[in-house]
Amino acid sequence: VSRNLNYSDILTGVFQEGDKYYAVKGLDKTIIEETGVTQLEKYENFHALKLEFGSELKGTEVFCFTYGPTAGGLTESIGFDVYTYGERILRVIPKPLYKNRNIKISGLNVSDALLRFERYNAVFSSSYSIAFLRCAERIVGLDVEQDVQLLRIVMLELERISHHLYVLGRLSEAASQNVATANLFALRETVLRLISKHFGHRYFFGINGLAAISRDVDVGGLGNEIKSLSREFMVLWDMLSESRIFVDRLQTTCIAKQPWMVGPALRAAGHNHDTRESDHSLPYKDVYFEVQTHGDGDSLGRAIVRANELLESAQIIQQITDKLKLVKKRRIILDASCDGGAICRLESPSGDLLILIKLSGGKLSNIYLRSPSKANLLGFVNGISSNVFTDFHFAWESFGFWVSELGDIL
Amino acid sequence: LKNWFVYGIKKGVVTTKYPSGKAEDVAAWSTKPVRVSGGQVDCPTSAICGGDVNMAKCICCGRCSDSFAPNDVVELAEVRMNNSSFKRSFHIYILDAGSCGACNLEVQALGNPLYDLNRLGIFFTNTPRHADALLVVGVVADAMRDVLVETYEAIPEPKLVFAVGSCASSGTLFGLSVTKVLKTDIIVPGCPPNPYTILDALIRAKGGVK
Repeated sequence: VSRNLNYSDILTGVFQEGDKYYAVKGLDKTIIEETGVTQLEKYENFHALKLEFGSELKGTEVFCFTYGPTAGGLTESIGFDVYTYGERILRVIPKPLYKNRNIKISGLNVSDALLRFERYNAVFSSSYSIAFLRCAERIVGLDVEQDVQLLRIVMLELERISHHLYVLGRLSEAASQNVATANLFALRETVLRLISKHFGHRYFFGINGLAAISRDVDVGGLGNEIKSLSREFMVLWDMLSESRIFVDRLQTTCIAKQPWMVGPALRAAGHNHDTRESDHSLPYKDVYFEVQTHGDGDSLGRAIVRANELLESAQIIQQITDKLKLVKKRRIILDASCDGGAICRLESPSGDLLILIKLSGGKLSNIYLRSPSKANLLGFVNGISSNVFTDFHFAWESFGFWVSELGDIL
Repeated sequence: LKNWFVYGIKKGVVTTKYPSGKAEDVAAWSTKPVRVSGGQVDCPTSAICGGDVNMAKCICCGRCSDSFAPNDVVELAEVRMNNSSFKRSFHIYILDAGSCGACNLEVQALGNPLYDLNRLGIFFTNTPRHADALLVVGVVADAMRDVLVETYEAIPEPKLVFAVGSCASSGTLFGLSVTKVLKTDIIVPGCPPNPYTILDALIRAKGGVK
């Protein structure tokens, strides 16, 4: 798949400054160029990046029903207009802004903005906070010491393990594999307890700081704890993979192969791209891991990629914690006069997230953020068409969407 | 099937004994910080007043960690009203009014085998019509305000309302709290609250263990 594509012409973000549009392009390298609506219209995902998903569907016996914004099957509040003439889904138009918090960050200093980034999507809290801090550190020209950089990788990989267990648990739950679901969620709880034991908080709130961490963190013993957890996961995953019900419900469900997707969704479509390899914000080159891919682009493919990535993440943590033990807290106060702009891309558990910020007098003046959920939502919309209602949850959960990160950050 | 059975037997019982036993592996920074030394603290939500912390406002950011240390006590909820008619069977409808996702997951975690809220006669329900209580997470986003009120009205009497998490309890950095929109019976502070804290609030709201 990869050889025939020009990855540098993939639209991965769009932002506006005044009347001007800027396109953010490229997978391996980031190109930002001034453009216009006419040029942007040629990209299939241009409107989706602005959360616009087409208009209503009309036809003989076609009707629309609304699912959400609050419904038992959904973890977060989101609405869907589902067009159908019976069992088959013809079109889904997501309405993701019900719970939009309109988070205001412009005018804040880095430290206060960090509190908001941590809580933009708490499930990817360390991803957002580290990406934001890398931008600020680049602007100020701060060198981050090696132990802090390695600890950041440990946090990101723990977050990935915890999230992938959650997604696999949700998929297993949707397939009524209750014993597997209970065990996967129990395993995820074990990961959260490990995170809280070593970092003091189950979602890494209050840990990250500018070129530093704000509490002493001792990761001694974490490698062995994660090793035994990954062994247990392997047993569980082997047994779950033998379940015909589980496999049948996911196989060929919501096929999405577009190259503008990110993360496990992109890799499950056969594209060998991982921001941990292409971006050098963190020293991933110092650890060994393999990028996991699959070719089918269906819900099962995305689940398999996540399961394999989980094991890779466990190995990364073991490699780092073999050398890293105690990381002492440090505090760096930002010079109030710093100015400039920077961009950071980072591989969150659901894929590449992109943050672009400008600082003026030490305060944020411009922010553009493209979350993995925003990049992948059109993949779901395209893929779910022609599937049936009962496929909906398998499709939705397999992407690892978080509605909170579809909201505005201003 | 045989494999799952053997796996389950080998695994044994993992469920906590809480509330009769103690809460295990509690995240320190989900509990109340208490002053351990002097010094000025720059609290971003003004949760600290004198030597005390108003947990409904606390976002567990740890900025006070030079002068404050968490006390590891999970029983933090303020139960303004309970109803013992729910003691044997208590059905909860969860509504996300505008959260970051953490509170949603901590509430959901109560269903995993380590907490197993069903053993205490507490259940999640997928429709407000079958619910005894509305459990709200997050601040009230503009577009969720009507949804919140409509959901509350769909729950039959008698009913209880929980505000779970500091956003729902006080609005914190992000907006309007649930307490400003609905009469709230139980405040469960924390950012996010520890699952044990939520479990304790649910137990006390239904008048104790059956």
